[in-house]
Amino acid sequence: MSALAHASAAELASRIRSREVSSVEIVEDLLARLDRCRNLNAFITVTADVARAQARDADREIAAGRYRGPLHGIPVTLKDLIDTRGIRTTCGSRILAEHVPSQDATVTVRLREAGAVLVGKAALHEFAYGVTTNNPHFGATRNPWDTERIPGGSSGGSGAAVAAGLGPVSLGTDTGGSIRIPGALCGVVGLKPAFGRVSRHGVFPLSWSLDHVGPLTRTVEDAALVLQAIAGPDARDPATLGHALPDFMDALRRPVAGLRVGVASDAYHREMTEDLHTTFQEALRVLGTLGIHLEDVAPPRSAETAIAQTTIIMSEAASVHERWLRERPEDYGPEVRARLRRGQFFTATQYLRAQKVRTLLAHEVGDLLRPYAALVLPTTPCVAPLITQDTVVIGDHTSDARSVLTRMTRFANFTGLPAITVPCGFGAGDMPVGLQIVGRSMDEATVLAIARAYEQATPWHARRPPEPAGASAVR
Amino acid sequence: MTTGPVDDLARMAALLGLRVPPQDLEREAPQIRALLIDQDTLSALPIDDLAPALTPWLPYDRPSAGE
Repeated sequence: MSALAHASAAELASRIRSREVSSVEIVEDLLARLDRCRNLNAFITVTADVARAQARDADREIAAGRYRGPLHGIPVTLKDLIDTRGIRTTCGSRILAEHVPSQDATVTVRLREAGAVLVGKAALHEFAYGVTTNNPHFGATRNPWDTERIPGGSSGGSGAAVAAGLGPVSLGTDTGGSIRIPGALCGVVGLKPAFGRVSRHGVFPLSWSLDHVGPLTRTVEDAALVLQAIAGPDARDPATLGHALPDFMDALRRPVAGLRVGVASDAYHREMTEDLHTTFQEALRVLGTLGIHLEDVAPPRSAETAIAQTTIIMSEAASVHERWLRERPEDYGPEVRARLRRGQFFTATQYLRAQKVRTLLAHEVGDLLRPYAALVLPTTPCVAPLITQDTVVIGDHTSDARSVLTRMTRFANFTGLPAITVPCGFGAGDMPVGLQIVGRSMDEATVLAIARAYEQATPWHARRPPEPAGASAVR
Repeated sequence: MTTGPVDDLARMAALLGLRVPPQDLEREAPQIRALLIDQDTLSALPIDDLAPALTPWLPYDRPSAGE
């Protein structure tokens, strides 16, 4: 019998619909496995009772002929800053450690309406403000490929869970790369939709103008499937209004041969470790075999983008946390407290200047991408650092791990462009590497088509991390 | 943002109502100074005639502490 733990949502859906397996069986299998994988610290809250009740409901509905679609009966997890009515939502913080929302986030509602089963609230960097998921209040989350290494962040629990076979789907958030970085470092798919595609109502903000919500999954097909369920207009997040909703599943079948795709090849984007360079070049070779025409391009003003984005994140985050930082600073971990404090020293003029740079970049990147269907680049310039590692060495530079890990991802937040990471091989320490595909404005469809074609041409998505002691993937 | 030494930062923090222990301020001063230098880079860009790219979004109702 095939493995349930590492099956994709689409595979599980097929087996549920044919009554080969029930949602209750899948959930019980997952809960047992989750117990054996506690060393990963991927969850802040496991919602076992809720999951069992929702799975029973799903099985009853399906037996009665009321099949809702491919997420019906499928276990999902949510980053623990996405509101769940009646279930605590901590944001990975001491401040909200006992916070129980009275309403669901829009994405929570949409997943439930699709029939998904909530299994747990995934660990994250404190208030999503960092990329390691070394959480001072709930402990460090560990990478399933090597438990001495970080899973990335801030959606690190989501990345670790999906990689370890703890549910095929997790929703994360991405402000500077927080879906794609853990996706890449944990060897799974991470999709940051276009700005405005998915409602953020009921999702605790880090930076209002840069935050995105999206899925981490094991396959590109699952990412499309989840996006279809959670995307679309929501009056409570006006950024989502006025966009037509494409058929993302249909996009998976689009041909990619003949597409022109840019390769980010300026000095800024060439800075990566040697193992990453080798893996990325091989990924480009595979894209070439798919009939994609690759051309070197130079994304504009990468260094200035980093500065402007930092200014915006720090200013907006400082505003979100202004009151708590004034009244109870000791309740933050030292890293996040220091970052929030720095943000309070920016002036309004400096913040608005950074937003004007964003306008400039939007025009320039739009011009750059006009001849191309998409842009490709590595998701991160190195594999997952050790949990104890604060800096990363690339070439002859030693840099802060946080700024290194967001180096390749942040511009898609700044411009609001859709971007996905797909597994593209293994680097130093036999750790996963991600290939990033960035699309034109609101064009997730092309991003998904290229990602799916690449995935089908390569074996990387099928590789699995070592089994935890006592865990069995086969039932 | 202030350009001065730690004392200037301390005065600014006081004006903003921030309770920042002096040793924390001292530790943060180099990073804040670096952020300021970075701002000069942005001033040199051709953005005078551009409007800021603010987005329309109703803010999330932040939960009360301990709610």
